[in-house]
Amino acid sequence: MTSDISALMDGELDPEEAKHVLGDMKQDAGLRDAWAAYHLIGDSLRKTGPLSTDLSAGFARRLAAEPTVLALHRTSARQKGFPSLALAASVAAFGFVGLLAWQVVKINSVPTGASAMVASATDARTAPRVHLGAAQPKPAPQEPAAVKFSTAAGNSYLLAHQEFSPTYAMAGMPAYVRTVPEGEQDNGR
Amino acid sequence: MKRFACALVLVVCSGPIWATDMDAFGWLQKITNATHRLNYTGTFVYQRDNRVETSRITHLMDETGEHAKLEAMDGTLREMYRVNDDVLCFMPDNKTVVLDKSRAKKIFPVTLPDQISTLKESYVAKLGGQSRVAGRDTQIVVLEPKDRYRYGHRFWADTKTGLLLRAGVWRENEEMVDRFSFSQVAIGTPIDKAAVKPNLAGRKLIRNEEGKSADSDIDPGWSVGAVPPGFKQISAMKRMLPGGKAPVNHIVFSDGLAAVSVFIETTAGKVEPGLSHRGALHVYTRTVADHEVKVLGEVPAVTVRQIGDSVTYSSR
Repeated sequence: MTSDISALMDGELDPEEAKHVLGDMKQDAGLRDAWAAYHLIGDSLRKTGPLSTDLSAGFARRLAAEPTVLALHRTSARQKGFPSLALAASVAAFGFVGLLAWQVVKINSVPTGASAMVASATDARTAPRVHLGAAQPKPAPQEPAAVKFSTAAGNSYLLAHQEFSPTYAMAGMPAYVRTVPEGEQDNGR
Repeated sequence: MKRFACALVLVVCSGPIWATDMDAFGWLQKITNATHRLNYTGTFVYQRDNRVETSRITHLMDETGEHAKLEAMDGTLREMYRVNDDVLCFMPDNKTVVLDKSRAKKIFPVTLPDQISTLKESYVAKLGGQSRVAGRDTQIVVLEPKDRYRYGHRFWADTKTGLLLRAGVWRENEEMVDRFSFSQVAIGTPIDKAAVKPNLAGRKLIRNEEGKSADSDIDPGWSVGAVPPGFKQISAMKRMLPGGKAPVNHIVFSDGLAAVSVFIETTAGKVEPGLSHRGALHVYTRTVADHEVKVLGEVPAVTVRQIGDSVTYSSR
């Protein structure tokens, strides 16, 4: 489940999956903590400071201080856990921005030229190509499912790939750190 | 006068930019040489997906060639060795060692010139500032991607020797994807050969080269229709995978720095189609004409998907 949150942060979920994860986050405080923790870790790796954890709290504080009709709901909302609703709202806002970005990527992701033929030139020439009309957005292709990395990329594929990667020429053996096999107990966060 | 001043600014600016570009590629060459020719040992951390792993590297170059050992310090015992073209991978079960003979040496010699022209198509190279890594002064080299089909790369090279002390991969929004960085390193000190010798006692060595089919041409009828700009096919063969049982089609594309492998094989069992990633590595799996197509590379998701979705088969 936490991997879904990571995927949500990376904008890798489709709208249905994102809705599902956001729904789960509304219910589960542990998942919300994971969301905050991942952002904190990400921020510290990027050395940008703990922006995101303060953001939701600050957002909740400022929303709570709004002198509008929200005040009518405050009593009942607090009983149901008002800060969590505020957090969910900010999460939803992030999700929405993420989805917007995702849509943009999709529209731009029409295959461009530079085709490299592997076996048969004629086959590829007759292969269907998608053309994007100016006003007609391309129908969204099915987003691929998120699968476990260790299942998808077995050690033999990783090793076979790594020997051809120029990253080995540049970095030497440390480049293999991406392809060192993982033990089962190392797969958890 | 103003126009003259503008022209002067242009001249003054364009000179150093050109020189910087050449210097940056010069540093990449220096890094590549140092990586394979120097003796060094040290500890480095690898950061990815909010995780940190510590590993130890020992590298020895002597009259018999290149010997290297990579050892994971956290979690289960995991070791990898490289002795010239042989890669030995100790599996996490602690019982088996897979031997893979590298086929790539003729594609990536230790010198870069061919790759540099390829790199220039897809990246803008710049010299960054100076910084300290593992207590040593470093020169930063930046490779900015020209499009979204590849990541940005930054390299921290030891100013004295050129050894790569830190290397990071970035997304377009300046978010780090993964990074390795030495925390401690000794360069040029004598290294005992025993330190880079694999201990195979009590372990089963799996070689896939013996008694199995040699590399051959890939199966006819397969084509990859939409390879993103800048990526060129560098290899295509039907081969045994390390520790594998049946040969698979393996096609490799590269932009000079990142590589994308396309594996095509008859479906041995249930195929789980989808997308996943570990650090900068993305893998995309789908089924085409009863074959499993797996696209794997240190590139963004959009690249493996576009390549994977464009794989077609024609029986004609």
